[in-house]
Amino acid sequence: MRDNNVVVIGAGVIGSSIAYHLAREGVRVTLFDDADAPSSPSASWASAGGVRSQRRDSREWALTVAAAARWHSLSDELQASTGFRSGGHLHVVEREEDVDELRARVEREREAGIRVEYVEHSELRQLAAALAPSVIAAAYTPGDGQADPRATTSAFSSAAVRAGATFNRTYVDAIALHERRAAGVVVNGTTHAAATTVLAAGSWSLRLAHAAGLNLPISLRAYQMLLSMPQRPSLAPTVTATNRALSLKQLQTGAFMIGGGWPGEIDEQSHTCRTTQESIDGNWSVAAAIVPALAPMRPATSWCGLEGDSFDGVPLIGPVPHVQGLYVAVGFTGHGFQIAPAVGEAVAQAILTNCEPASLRELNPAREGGIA
Amino acid sequence: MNDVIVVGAGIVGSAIAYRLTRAGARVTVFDAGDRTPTTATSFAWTNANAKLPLAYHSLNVAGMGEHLALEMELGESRWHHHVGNVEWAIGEDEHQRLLDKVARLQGWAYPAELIDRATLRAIDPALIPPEGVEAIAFYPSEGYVDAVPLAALLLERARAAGATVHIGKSVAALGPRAVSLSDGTPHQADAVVCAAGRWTGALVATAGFAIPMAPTRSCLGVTTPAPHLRTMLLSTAINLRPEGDERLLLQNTTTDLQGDDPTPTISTEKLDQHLLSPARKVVRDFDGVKIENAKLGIRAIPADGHPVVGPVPDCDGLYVVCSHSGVTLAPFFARAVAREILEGETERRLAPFRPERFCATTTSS
Repeated sequence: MRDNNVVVIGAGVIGSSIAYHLAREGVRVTLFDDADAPSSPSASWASAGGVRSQRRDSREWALTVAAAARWHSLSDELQASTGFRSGGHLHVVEREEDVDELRARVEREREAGIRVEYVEHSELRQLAAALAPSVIAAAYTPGDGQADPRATTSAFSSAAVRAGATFNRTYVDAIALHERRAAGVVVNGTTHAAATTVLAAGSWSLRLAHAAGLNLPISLRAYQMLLSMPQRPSLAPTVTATNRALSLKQLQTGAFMIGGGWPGEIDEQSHTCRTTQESIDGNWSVAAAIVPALAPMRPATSWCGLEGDSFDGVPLIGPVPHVQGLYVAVGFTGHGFQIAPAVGEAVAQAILTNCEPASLRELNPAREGGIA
Repeated sequence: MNDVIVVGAGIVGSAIAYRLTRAGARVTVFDAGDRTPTTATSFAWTNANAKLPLAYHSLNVAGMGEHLALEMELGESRWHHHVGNVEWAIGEDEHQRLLDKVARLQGWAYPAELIDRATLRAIDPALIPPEGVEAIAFYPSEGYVDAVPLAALLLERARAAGATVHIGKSVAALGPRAVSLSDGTPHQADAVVCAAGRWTGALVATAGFAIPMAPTRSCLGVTTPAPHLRTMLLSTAINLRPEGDERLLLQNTTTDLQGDDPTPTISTEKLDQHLLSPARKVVRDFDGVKIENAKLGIRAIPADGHPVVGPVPDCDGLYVVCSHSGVTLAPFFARAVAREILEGETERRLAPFRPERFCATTTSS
């Protein structure tokens, strides 16, 4: 496999990580993307940059544990800052009746190797004084935190290039198909041949797959983000909450970044999205319920990005059934950032060994309901 | 509405060129290039701190938001330093004014708080409030921008996206959908945006419209290597902030220096009086620090102190943007101008700041 070349479509955090992990094994890789660096409306550009290993679907556990072990030294490994800051992550609950489920989930995750603990009372206040009194307990992952998704993506793609990959800044017209075999990509009307083609083009994957006759069980989603004016540091951990559509963190600038899956409006024709006032107001008020200091303020700016939501909430990663030489890493459903280092490593291993790593087994694109 | 000429490549003109180009316009930028723009002699403080009335405050808040959006968009933020700003008041009058201002800003949901000396030490141990300081305020959302590199980056991004940039070509006159250069060459476009900073009054006058200007001055000095500051300070005696390379930038806004040359020779005595002596009183271990490079800041301020943004009356296709606080406001102006010129929309927040208001003044007097 090492003698063959690979094309990766999409230089977002997933595609760049895959290219890096292949290149460092000596594989000839070409990374295709018309954008130099993550730009609007890609998910790697719009991402909130949460590095969260808890509260994931069990099918992602192996990836999240592998990724969590790498984030702390990833900047060193890639020789460029990912902006990672380890302030921990708190998933909070506000109702007594949610506490048992929280404790049970913490137990399950601990058994899976995730570094997570149950916290309440003074310990919880010590971790995050900014939280509302309504918050009574939390699951805490001290090794989690936040990173800069744009810097992380560029760190991966630059490291890939340093390791020998080629970054071809060209728009990919189509996946080149010969009968039931992927033969590379079509760019500017000519085929760039490859033994293996990896589709990791985020929200653009749908269109490329469709043109190749593939129906990805993924739907287009616009995720909105908000940013407050910078404040004095008061919240080290990143925060999510039960029963609330919320992700919240204070950045190094002091600004609060707020998301949680609030939808923007999609224009499929132009492949763009825009925020809606309803989502902005709704998202802000949920954030203010958990961090009361935000209540009197208004968002300083907002944006949204396009992402692929998978049919069952976890990504499709691996070989495409019935199309030789084609891999996908798509449908990350708004939570692909933390696992990106492990996804890249696993996909590279799968391509090199032609054998599916255990961490990808339950994410196989051919799983029930997946790519038929 | 596709061809747009932008006159001036300071922070405002560069931001406008960038935004117009990204919005699909064919942009040509002219800048004389032989005079120091205010962008290069600005304290470059991003804030909506003492901006009155509320409409102007809100414009500056929008500017701060657009700065955050710009950092997002460009995927890097090496030029914007979110350090927060300390302000203190000496004496009863200043004290009361500061309390009033903080209360007003809090009422407007602008991040502002009164802090004690212990909190100040935690925020920045290098700052020593001198005797007589009765109140200290902190504005965590404020900071400063490396304005010259940011203007250069925006202009470069505009150029890379297809804008034509002529530095060293001076515009002598503005007219309907056209400019003429000082060598007499005419250039036409669908629209002309005048972002000529402190030369706005003189330039717009060539199109038959009077925008009275009232530039004010400040004395600025970059120090030799100095103690590290984590934040910035605003006070009556001295403003100061980090300037990179271990330097500080000092500013005295009550300077008695006059003239229109941004790089005059300023005597050692004056530098000591205006900058070093007041800085020594408030920065720990400042003894021995000198001024490496002194400048006269000449601000681009329309006569009533407020921005002038909008179509110039009776001159088809000519649009003017001139304001103090250009560093804070540039990204907001750029967004608004692109929307108004290319899409024909009207930015409501600019309603109090249209050029017509000067017309009214001159006809009534």
